[in-house]
This record gives sequence, structure tokens and C-alpha cells, in this order.
Amino acid sequence: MKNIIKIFSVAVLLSVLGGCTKNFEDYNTDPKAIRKDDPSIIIPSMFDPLMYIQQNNSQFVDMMVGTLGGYFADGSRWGNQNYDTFNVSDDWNRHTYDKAFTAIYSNYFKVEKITKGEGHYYAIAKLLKAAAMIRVTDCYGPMPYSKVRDGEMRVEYDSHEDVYKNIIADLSDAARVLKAYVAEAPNSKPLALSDPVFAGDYGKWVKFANSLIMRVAMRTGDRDAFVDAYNAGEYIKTNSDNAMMDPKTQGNPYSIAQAWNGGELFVAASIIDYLTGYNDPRIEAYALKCTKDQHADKYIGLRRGYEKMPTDHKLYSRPNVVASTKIPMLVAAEVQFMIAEAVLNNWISGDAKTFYETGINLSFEQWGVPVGSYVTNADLIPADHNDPLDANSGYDRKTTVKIAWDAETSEAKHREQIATQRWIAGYPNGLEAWAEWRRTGYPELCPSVKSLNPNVIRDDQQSRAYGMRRLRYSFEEASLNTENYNKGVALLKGADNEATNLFWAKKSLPNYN
Amino acid sequence: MFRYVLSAMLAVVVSGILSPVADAQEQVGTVSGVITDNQGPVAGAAVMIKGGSGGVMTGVDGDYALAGVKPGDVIVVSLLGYEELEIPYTGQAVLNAVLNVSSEFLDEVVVTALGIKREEKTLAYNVQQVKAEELTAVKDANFVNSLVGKVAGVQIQSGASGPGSSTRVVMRGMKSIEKNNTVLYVIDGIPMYNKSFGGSGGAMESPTGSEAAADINPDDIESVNMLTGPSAAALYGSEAANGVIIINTKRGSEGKTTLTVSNSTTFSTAYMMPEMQSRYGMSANGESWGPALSSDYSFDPRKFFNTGTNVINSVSLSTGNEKNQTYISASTTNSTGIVPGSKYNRYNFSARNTTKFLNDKLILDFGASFIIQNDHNLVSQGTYYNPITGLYLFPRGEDFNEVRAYERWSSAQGRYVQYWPYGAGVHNIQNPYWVQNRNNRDMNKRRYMLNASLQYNITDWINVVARVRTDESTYRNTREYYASTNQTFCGENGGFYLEKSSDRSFYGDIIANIDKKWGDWRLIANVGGSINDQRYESNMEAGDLLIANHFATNNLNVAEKYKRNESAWHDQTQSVFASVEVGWRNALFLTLTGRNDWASQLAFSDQSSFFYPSVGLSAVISELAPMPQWFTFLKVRGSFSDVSTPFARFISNPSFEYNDQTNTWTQSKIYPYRNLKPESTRSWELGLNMRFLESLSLDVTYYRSNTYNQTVYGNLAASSGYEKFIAQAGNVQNQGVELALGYTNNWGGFGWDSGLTFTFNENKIIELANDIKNPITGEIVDIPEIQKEFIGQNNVAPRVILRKGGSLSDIYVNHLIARDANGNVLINSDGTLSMEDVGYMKVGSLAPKANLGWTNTFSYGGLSLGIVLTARIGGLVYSATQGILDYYGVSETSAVARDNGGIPVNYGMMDARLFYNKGISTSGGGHGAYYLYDATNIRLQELALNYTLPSKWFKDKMRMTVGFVARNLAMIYCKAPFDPELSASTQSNYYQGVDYFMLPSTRNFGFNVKFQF
Repeated sequence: MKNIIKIFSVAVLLSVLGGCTKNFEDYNTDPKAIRKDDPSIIIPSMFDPLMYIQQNNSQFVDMMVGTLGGYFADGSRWGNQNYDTFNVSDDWNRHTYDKAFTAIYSNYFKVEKITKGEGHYYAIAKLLKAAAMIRVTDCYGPMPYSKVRDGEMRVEYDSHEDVYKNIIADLSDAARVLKAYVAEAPNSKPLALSDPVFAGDYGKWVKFANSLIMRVAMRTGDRDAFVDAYNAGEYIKTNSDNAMMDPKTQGNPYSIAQAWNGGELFVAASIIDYLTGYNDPRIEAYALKCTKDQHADKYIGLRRGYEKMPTDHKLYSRPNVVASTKIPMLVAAEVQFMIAEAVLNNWISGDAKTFYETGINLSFEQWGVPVGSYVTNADLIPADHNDPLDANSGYDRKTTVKIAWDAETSEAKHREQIATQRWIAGYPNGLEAWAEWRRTGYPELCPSVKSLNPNVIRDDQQSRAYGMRRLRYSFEEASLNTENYNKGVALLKGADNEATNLFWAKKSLPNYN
Repeated sequence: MFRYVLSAMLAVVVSGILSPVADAQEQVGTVSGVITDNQGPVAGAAVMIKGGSGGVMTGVDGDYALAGVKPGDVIVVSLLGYEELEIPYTGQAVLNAVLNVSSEFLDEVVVTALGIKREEKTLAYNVQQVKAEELTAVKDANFVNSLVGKVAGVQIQSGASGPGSSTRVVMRGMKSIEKNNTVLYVIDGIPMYNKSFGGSGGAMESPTGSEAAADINPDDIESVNMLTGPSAAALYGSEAANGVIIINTKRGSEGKTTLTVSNSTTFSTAYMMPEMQSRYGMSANGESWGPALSSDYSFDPRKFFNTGTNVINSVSLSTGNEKNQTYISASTTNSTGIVPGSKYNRYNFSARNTTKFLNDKLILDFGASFIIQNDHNLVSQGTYYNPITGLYLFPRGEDFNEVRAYERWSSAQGRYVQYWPYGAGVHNIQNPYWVQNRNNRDMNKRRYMLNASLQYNITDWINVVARVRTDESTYRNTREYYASTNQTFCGENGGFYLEKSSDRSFYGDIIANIDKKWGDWRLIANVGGSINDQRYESNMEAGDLLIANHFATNNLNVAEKYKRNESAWHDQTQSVFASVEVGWRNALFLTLTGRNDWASQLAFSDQSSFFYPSVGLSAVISELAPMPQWFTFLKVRGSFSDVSTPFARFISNPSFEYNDQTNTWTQSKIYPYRNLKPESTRSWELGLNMRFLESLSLDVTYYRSNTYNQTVYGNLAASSGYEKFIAQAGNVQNQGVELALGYTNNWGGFGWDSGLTFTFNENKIIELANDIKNPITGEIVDIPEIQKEFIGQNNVAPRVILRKGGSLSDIYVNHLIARDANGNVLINSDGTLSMEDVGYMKVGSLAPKANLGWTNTFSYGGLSLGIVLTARIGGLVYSATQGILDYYGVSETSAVARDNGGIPVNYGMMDARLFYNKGISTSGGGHGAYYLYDATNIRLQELALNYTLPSKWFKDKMRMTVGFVARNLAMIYCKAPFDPELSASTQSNYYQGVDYFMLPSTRNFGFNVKFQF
């Protein structure tokens, strides 16, 4: 019997040990997932933070924070914790920060590792990183940038000025590499199928990178960077070079949000007021008419910052988008307006009026609307807000800024003209509009109806009109990266709340008269 | 009757031991009679001629007739648990006998690991048995619910989705921070893969569904053994580290054919709903902060709920002879839930055959089961596909009857469209009837299980058994959204979701069993090897419809918002194991076990296998030393075990992750970790089992377990580029006491059987994650705390935070009402109060301190009354629902506050709306500090009144039992606004004790009828 036991045990041991585990590596490999060291597989997921297409990300960032730019108003109160009433919940406030960091960096580190920090893939990843982080730092201020690296769990913050300087350095570095690649292999488009912006055309990415440098330099007052990019001349000049995000099969999120719960996104009062006041034909491209029967011939924008929505709030003008509508990120018109402003700054020489008018013409061309005599109109002014659906929400607009360059004479008014037209042309890029509004004070947006966070932003017309100046940091930053967060707040030179101004922000509202 | 079948099974075991040597030559006579014990007739006792072949078994009424007896023979009457009787046959025609309960009735045979039978007294660890009649007394669509309160050391929570819902069973406390902490199910000695649709919790998650364990027909169960400790893991594998529920199914019976037909019909009604008001009307944003309503207005949300029904029919046939036994059964379970339109159906078919060949040296046991299960529109919690958000928050003052006609004709669209004039609000609200009629969620499952075992008895002390079992299920999950469903869920023409998945598990083993005696010594050894192979595959397609309301994937709009995903995995574990038990004088037992596992999850790590040993010692003191007369039995036992479990599949070999919405691949957001090691749990237990004063029994176990090398996910600040990191560290300790006290007695036909179970567990994090080496930078990182999920809205609801010295269930809150320097509530310029971030402060734990169960059976003649009381002591639960109802002004609390002119704040009254709607609550739930409740509760868990009609009424041809049964009949004490034992997510470790529009628990009652022929 002992033999039997022996034989049996040996048989069992052999059968189990004898190489049966050779399939285990197969079993422990996800059969449906990709695990190839190829940067082109993961780079496509890094585009989203430049202009969110994924519907939830888009809503949490571009449609909520973006309303602060004056193009949109949210169609739901979500239990009254909203950006437009200045009291967004911690949960939602984190998204603009957290989503961008995690969507970009885990992939960026991987691309860096695979490419050893060289070549076009690494350059495009770096470009995407820098472009996405502009949107973040514009909202928050000082933040981790130059010290972010794989393995660093708690990252030190750069001062706000340094964040921008480092972003400009990354953009110009990426542009240099991509330019060299295009020169070497003009017909090669490695990301042709997956790039939702330029279909793999690196030459256009170079122009986009340089235009972003101009945008950042203008925002931060970095004359040298602006002038260098301008003189190099490789920026977005024509509408065919515009950086437009293609939503592809996910569909345009602004279109999707209009269906959610009967409508969660409407066109804001301010943009409709300016467009109607100027009799601006782009209004048809931007918005749909009111759906209330007796006002069906009108565009009626919705005020932002209601505590209680007007009864008919779902009947206000909605954005004119369909699932395939591309979302602009940076367009030729905007660059022209920046150059016009640079001339006023005496950064470069030239005729500001020409750049201003070219900007307007380019914008009309972009939207496929005939410009007519718009550029020379010297009479029309932005309209007051008159709301036939909610009589209490009217707003008397003070500004009388005209369209025609020569209709204004002071430099201040010229600056307002540039900012106003840049804002109109920038539709629907809300985050950018909010940043420029904080920097210039223009346009004259309708103040929020109500502040539900009166300890930070008082509930009076003046304070509400001055509005939110930044976002407070993601609460996870404070609890998980505490030491660096505290130093970051010190760099901010103010409290970590919505009332603290970033260094480039205008410290008080302009006198619109 | 079940007792009969059960005893018959046990008798088979006993009679099988007796060697069948044929020696009957002449037939002299037949003897008949009735075998009884002190409680009445004993069914299933073996009656045979000593040294003869064959024998008969007593029938339902203890009757038997034995032929072929001749004077001088000795008639042996035996039944497990009784002293064997030997009666000389002297030619009498009638021989009645009375069996005495064995003083060693602890020599009960229990089925332990791998189907190996052991006398309970030899075991060094705690095994608790629940018999068939206790399981089927009050039948439930998921038999696991019938175990509540009947065993010590276990916490069982029912899923919130009603009939057939998955359950959460945790033994001896949570051990693992990330891994599943629920038990392993073992059917006839073979581990079962328990696929569960338990949901992961959260406001926007799919509802809890059913689980594989719920598929088992309770009528097929002979007994259930619960191993609360990990000691048996050496033989079941590492999944047993969390404890095991061993299900032993019925086999055919020898020599007797029994047909059993039964019906159980129970009804369920909503119980423990939140208290709501209907005297203040609608205000803006769909809230109910408006003016007082006229007194003739009424709205009672309770009326929305139906009376649920659960009808279980079952028929089983048990037959056989000495060589061949067969058991066949079929059952149907048809349930409707309390929510209109929710259904659960199950059809079970099973057959089992046991045959002996080659002079009984070869035994083949073969079984097959086939299960069809489907469920429709089950609801558990959250805001997705949940009708009760719209019901509870229904604007007061409006007419709910209006929305009963949930769809109305739209001539513009040419079809019926949803009628719901109140908007979706924050909670994706739709017409509650629309949700249940036009957002159809279906699950269809087909499952078969085949098992076979072949045993060869080489000699009388050694045998070899080989077993295989395969268990395969296919699932089809669909969601059909009709056009005009809230477009958060689908497009304007509606939407369709189809997921087809399947799982398949295969288990095979071969074991040599040795059982040899030498004088005072006895050696029992089992040596074997096994393979456990599990695979899963799923394929999903979802999107909006092109043509309205035609639900097929070829009608999906693939150009926009179209999603598809395919996933699969394959795990395999190969093992060798051995168990050696040495017994001395049938009183002292030493058991050593060892097992080595090669697990596929370990591939790509440094360690390809792991070994885990156990040692146990059990001493029956009452056989070793003189004991007082009244002290009949005393056993002392102790054991130690070390069980390792592999880390999760794929984490040692990460791939890019697919996002089915953006259709892109991305690098994992989890910071990588290398050098992964298997998790290990070292535990020991000490126990006492005693029987004294004839009628009392006491089992006590003290245990302590420490779990090391846990794979832990901690949150990272997003600026690191990652969301989470993996660390392997930690030492989580559970220690506690399991106690079962039993009392059995009878007084002239009146019997009382009582059992008290007590469970106390303390969970403590001894070490969290110190000295973690950052794999990229090499830097040593200390992680003083790990912040886990908020159990509700971020930064509003309480949060689980793991800290050294705390427990795995500690909850923290970080917002309190802001106060000024004098301690008064700070009032803002607009009259509101503010919530102030005060940093995380610990407020308690989600886990109970203790659980108690008290089972009682009173019997008199054919009448029996069973009562089970259960209690949970300690722990907190969070009601997001209460906060939301307060916020909306629909809670009774908010109405009372209005009745009283507000809430007392700073010596004055604050307007109720300001206090709730702009103060302590939000639309996503109230602030944790103000919406936590003591989870302590005491309830009447089960009540069963059964009457067995005298069989002479049916001329002894039949037995009939009728009964009234009830479950969850009455809550005796509970301070929480919902049932704290209801689980919204049975799969999550942390989303427990949370009510986010969870269905109310149900009170169930009904009747049983059973016929036995």
C-alpha cells in the first residue's frame, strides 16, 4: 500500500509541477487589452483635456466653469451648488484640476519612457501637456508643473509666472521638434487617424503651439515671448489652420447636454445681448431662437446665477450645434486681435486697426456668415438685457462701445473694442473667455443673479459683477499634497478661494461708460 | 419529513460502514414494529440483522418490517446520534424499541473540506451546522437569507433589490482592505465561483442583482456547514480565508421511495419607509417648501408599493436500493417585488445518482443541475432606474394619480410619450411608472452544473477519489429605453443595451484517503492535487436607437454615442495538499495540513507559488479525565493557520485601459508597483465545546487573525499624474468571540429547543503602510492614512479613512455648522448658516460591535413554533435619503420644524427651509455629522408555525404539514430611518450602511404546505 501512496503522490506532484503552469503568463495577460510600447496607442487619449469631448468632462469643465466666460448658462441648478452662484461643491470644483492632470500625465510619463524623451511622439505629448495645463493654471494659479515627474507622489508648485514660462518653453521645444520632423518627412502623418484636431498634420500643430505661446504671452504680459513667436511668423493665420476639436463618434457634448434632463445648457444673456445690439449676423450660427411660442422670433439669452430658475427656463435660446459640430480651441481671428493688442502695447509695430478688422473678417469667414458693412458700423452698441420670459432679470448695460475702429478714439476704448470682438469671435470657448474677461474686464457681462457664497463674494451687484476670480484648489490637493499645497497658497498671495486675483487679472472692473 | 430524509442520509453513511456479507439461507419470519425515542417516532433508523446483509429503514412514523429473521438472530437498530440497540430475536412478530440519544451525540459526522466526512469532535476549528429544516422553515428566494441569526461569527446582510437579491456574508470581520471579504461557497466539497451582480454602490451605479449562490434550490440542501475561520482553507484553497459556507446536497435514499411535494407562498410588504409629509406644498425647483395645504390633500408614497409575492413549488423524488440511489428534484420560484413590475423567476432541475460497483469497491456519484433564472426591473438604490426618487420627492400638493397614466399620446411624435411634468431635478427623475414599464432592465441566465466523483476502495482503510465538476452560466443583460425616456440615458428615439456574458469553471481533484487504526492510535490522512480553472467573457454593445422603440443591436446608431466593450479573463490555480490527523484513544486529535498553490495571478511576479500550513489540536477532556456526572462532554480545541491569497489578476502585468465612451486607450491611472507578494492571513483560534446538565450545550471560540501584505489602493493628489497608488503593506487584525449556547428539553411531549448565538468582532489596523519603497524613485514613503470613498457625495457624506490604530470601517466627517468665537451658530448676512470645514474627525464605525441571534423551537405533538430573534449592537449608518428629503422639504421632520415655527438656533428660531435647504443638507445628501444613525436594532427575524397532520388521517399513505411563516415580521428596536441590515451594494467593502434612495426593507409572511408520500 505504501507503494500506492508513493506512486500516487509522485504522480500528483509531477502532474502539477510538470510544466502545467506554462500558460499562466497567458492567463494573466488581459486578452482584450493592448499592451504594446507604442505611443500612438495612448496619445489619442491626451487630446480630450484640450477641449473636452467626453460628455461628463465637458459638462464639469467647459459647460460649468466655462459659463463664467459669458457664453452659456447652465439649465439646471443641481441643488444650488454652482459656479455661477459662486458656491460650487468640492466634488465638482475638483474636476478641472484633477481630470486634466490624470488624463495627461499618466500617459505623458509612459510616452516619455517609451520614446526616451525624443522624437515627434514625445514632442506632441509635450505640446498636449502644455496646452492642457494652460487651461488649468488659468483657473487656479500656481500649481505643479516643472517638478511633475513620474514617481513624484507629492509635487512642489511652480509660482504662477513660472508655470507660464515653463509652458512657453515646452511649447516652443515641441514646435521645434515637430517642425524639424515635417521638414524631414513632409508626407508622414503618424497620427492621421486618431488626431481629432489636425488629422496628424504636424505643420498645423506647430502653428497652434506658436499661437498658444502668443495667447499665454499676451495673458501674462511676456513681451519677449510674444514678439519672438510673432516674428517667427508660424502662427494660425487662416481659418484652414484653426484648431478645431472634432467630436467624432462621441458627438458634440454641447449638443448632448441639451438633451440631458430636458436641457442643461443654454446660451447666456450677455452674448445674445452683444450680438443683438450689434445686429451681428453670427447670431444665427451661434444660437437658436427662443422656443416660447409668442417669442419664437427672438433670441433670448438666459441670465447666469439664478437661485431659482425662471419657470420657462427650458424655452431660452440654445446653442446651435449638432452632434458633428467641431469646437474651436484657437482660431485665426483671435490671433489677429492679439496682434492688434500687441500693437497698442507697443510690443510690435503696425496698424492696430488693420489687425482688428482682419480679425473680424476672419471670424465671419470662419462662421460662414457674410460680413457686409459690420466692420464699419459706427452706431450700434451692445444691448441691455431685456427678458420677456422673466421681467425681473433685466440688466442695463453701461457700455456704448462701437464696432467701427474709428468710432472710438481713446486707447482704452480701442482695447475694449479688441477685447469685445475677440470675445465674440471666441465663442464657444468659455474657459478662454473667462480668463480674458478677468484680464481685461471686457466685455461687460451681466452679473450673476445671486451669490450663494456671500462670505467670499458678497451678494451685491458690484461684487457679483466682479464675479469669480479663480477656482479654489481641488480638495484632494489640500488633503493629499498638504505641504506643497500650503506653499502653493503662499505663492498665490491670497486666500485659496474664489475672490483672490491671479497676477495677470485686472484688479477692478473697468468703467464701462 | 426533512428530518426523515436527513436521517436517511445519515443512516446510509452508517449502514455503509457495515460490511455486507451474504448469509441468508432460510426465511423464518418477519418482524415489524415502531422505533421511537423520547420525542416520538424515529424515521430513518436502520434495522438489520447483526452480521446479516441488507436491512431496512424506519419509515415516516418510525415503522419498519424486517423479513428473513430467524430466532437467535440479533436485531440491530442504529441511527447516528443514538446509542446502537441490539435486541435478540425470539420469534416475536412485533418488536418496538426505544432509542436513547447517544451521550456522544457530538460524534456527529460533518462534511468538511473536499467532501471529507469527519466526526465533529476531531475538529480543531469551529464548524456550525444548519439543518435542512431550519433552512426551509421560512423559504426565501435566496437561501442565504435563511441563515440569518442561526450561526455565530457571521454577519449576513440582504441585498436591497428584493427577491433573489445577492447577499453580503462576512465571517469574523473584514480582513482585506481591497479584496472581496465575502465567504466562499462550496457545493458538495467543491468551491463554487459566486458570480454576483452585487453592484458597487454609489448614486449612479446599476442596481444590485442576484448571485450564483441564490440559484440553489433550498429543497435540495441536506445541510449547510459554516466554517467561520480560515482553518479549512488548507483544503479548500485560499478563497476560503474569509470563511466557508459548505452546502451538502441530497442524495437518493436506500430502500425507500419518497415523493415530496411542497409549496411555500409568502407575501411581502414595504417596511421601514422614511417618514414623509403631505401638508406643505410645492415651491420652486420642484421642492416642497410651499404653503400649507388644505387638510383634504393626501399623498401616501406607501401606496405606490405593491404586496410582493414569492411562490416556491418543489417536488422531489428519492429512491434507491443498496447499490443504487437516485434523487431527482424540480422547483419553481416566482417572485414579484414590492415595486410594481419587478420580478424574479427561477426554475431548478437536478438529479443525482450514486451507484456501487465491483463488490462495492467502486462508487460512482453523478449529479447534474440545470437552472433557468431571470429577473426584470429589479430596483435597489441610487438615482439610475429608480422609481422611488420621483415617488419620495413628488412635489406635495400635486396629484400623484395624474402620473399613474405614465404615457400619453403625442400626435406630434405619433407615439405615446412619457408624462412627467415635474422635471428631472438633480436626480434624473422620471415618472416612477415609466421607469418600471418603459425602462426595462432584464437579466436572463442559464446555468448548468455537472459533477461526478469516482471512489475506489483499495482496501478497507485506503481509498482514492477523483472528482470533477463543471459549472457554466450564460447571461444576457438588456436595457430597453423607450423614446421619451430622460435623454441622460438614451437618445430621443430611445436606447438599447445588450451585454452577453458567460462564465465557466472547472474543478478537478484526486485524493487518496487513508484511515487506519493501530490500538489506541488512529491515522487519517488525505493527500491530493487539484486544479481550479475559471474563465469569464463578456461582450457589450449599447447606444441610441435609429428607429424608435425597436430594440435590437442592428437598430443602434453607430455614428454617435455608440459604445461597445469586450472583456475576458482566465484564472487557474493548481494545488497539492495534504492533511494528516492522528487520533489517540478517540480523545486526542492532532491535525496538520499543508497546501501549495500555483496561481495564474502570480505570473510576472517574483513568486510563482505559495505554501500555507495549519495545525490543530483537539482534546475531548471528558474522555480523558473523570468528569462530574452532570458534565457529559467537554472538548478543548486550538488551531493555527496561515492562508495566502494571490493579488488580483493583471496587476502584475498591466495593460492599457480601454474607455468605451471615448474609444481610446490610456495608461493606467494607478501608479505601478512591482515586487508584489501574495496577501497572507495568519490566524489562531481557541475553543471549547461542552454539554452539561443533559440539556445544555455551549460552544465558545476566541479567534485572532492578522492579515499582512495587503494590496492597498490609496488616493494620490492628481498633480502626481495618477489617481491611486498600490502599496503592499499592512497588518489588519480581527479578534473576537463566537458563542453558541443551546438548550433542549421536553416535558411530556412539549419540547423546547433553543439556541443563542453571539458574535463579537474587533477590527484594528495595527500597521497601515510604512516604509513603502517608491518603485520609481526608490524613496521610502510613509503613508499615515488612506482616504477611501465617501459613502455618498464627496466632501459632504462621511468618508471611510484608514489610519493606524483605527479600523477598516471607521468613518469620518469634515463639516460642521460654522460657529463664532462664543460657540454660537454663525449667521450669514442673508440669514443662512454655513458649513465649515473642520478637518476630518472620526465619528464611529460602519461595523457592528456584536451580533446576536436567538432561535427557539417549541413543539407539541405535530405542532411546532419556531421563532428567531436577531440583534445587531453598535455601528453607524448614513442616510443620504433623509438629508435629501429634508432638503426638498418632503420629510416629516421638515414639516414638524415648520409646524413649530422653525429650528431653535442661538436662542431663536431659524426658518426650517434655511436650516435644511441652505444649511445642513444638500440635494445629494445631508452633511455626515447630522445624518448618521445608530445601527443597533433588534427584530423578530423569523416566525414559523407548522402543524403536521396526524398521518392516520391519510391512512398512513401520506404526511402533510401546513404552516404559517414570516420573516422580518417586526422591528423591535431601531433608531435609524431605514433597515440597517439592508445592503445597497453587496460587493463593496465600504459602501455599506448607506441609504441613497434604497428600497425599503420588506416584511414577509405566508404559508407552507408539504405533502410526503
